[in-house]
Amino acid sequence: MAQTYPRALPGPVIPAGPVRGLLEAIRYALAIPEPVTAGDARGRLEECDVRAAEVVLAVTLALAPDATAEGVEREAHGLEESDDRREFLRTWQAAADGAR
Amino acid sequence: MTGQDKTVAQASVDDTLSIREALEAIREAIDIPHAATVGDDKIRAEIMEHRVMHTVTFLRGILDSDRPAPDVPWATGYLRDRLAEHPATGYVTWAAAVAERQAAERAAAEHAAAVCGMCSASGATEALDRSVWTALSDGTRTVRWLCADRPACTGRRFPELAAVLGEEAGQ
Repeated sequence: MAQTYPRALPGPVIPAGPVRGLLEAIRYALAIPEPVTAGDARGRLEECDVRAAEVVLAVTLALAPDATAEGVEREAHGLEESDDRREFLRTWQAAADGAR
Repeated sequence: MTGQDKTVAQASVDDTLSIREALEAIREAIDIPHAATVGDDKIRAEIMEHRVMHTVTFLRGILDSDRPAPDVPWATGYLRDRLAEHPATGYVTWAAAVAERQAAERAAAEHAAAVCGMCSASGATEALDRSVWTALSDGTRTVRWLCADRPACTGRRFPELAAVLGEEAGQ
């Protein structure tokens, strides 16, 4: 049966800590800005694929039975510090900023 | 039970479970099989884009204070429902293509090793329906394969006949 979605509080419940850090790193990794051209779109898709693979690895390690807080932190840092090829993609936001 | 009713220990256990569920949902969202061909990869990319978008929205809901989701289990359920709308199907996966190729190679190997039901030579290449074989012989043997080169096969099976036919052809 389909779930119903009441819009109710209490809001975010994830406390600060390694897991929250990992979730924020995943969001950063996957939130790739919208592209400008078809070429940028292809680059974005490739980047998305690479990022997804990195996230899957990090989440798998975090879910392992022997995962430690230090290990989860390390994975989060790894996601944040891995090569960021998004800098080479022109995004709608950058194009709009440039036009102003 | 509301958040205020939980004991500290119970809340901790529940929260750990719900965060674990959230991480598993994220992994399910983006761990989709690789495509076999360039054409399949285009379909996969579209699916992946939708699933990543919903994952990012989910993460905003549970992390941002300005866009609060009611709670992590609710948001996880919502994400899973959105993922169900964009299932990772409709393209040939790399694993499926490899399995198909391996099956074809196994069939080819079996084929190459097949023994002709007529002359007993190995490497018979034509499958022969049992009913056809029954019409050709006494029907007591089960034959699956037959040589493609029928005159050579007949020559091996009936050398005397082949010699006679050869003499006739020579005359």
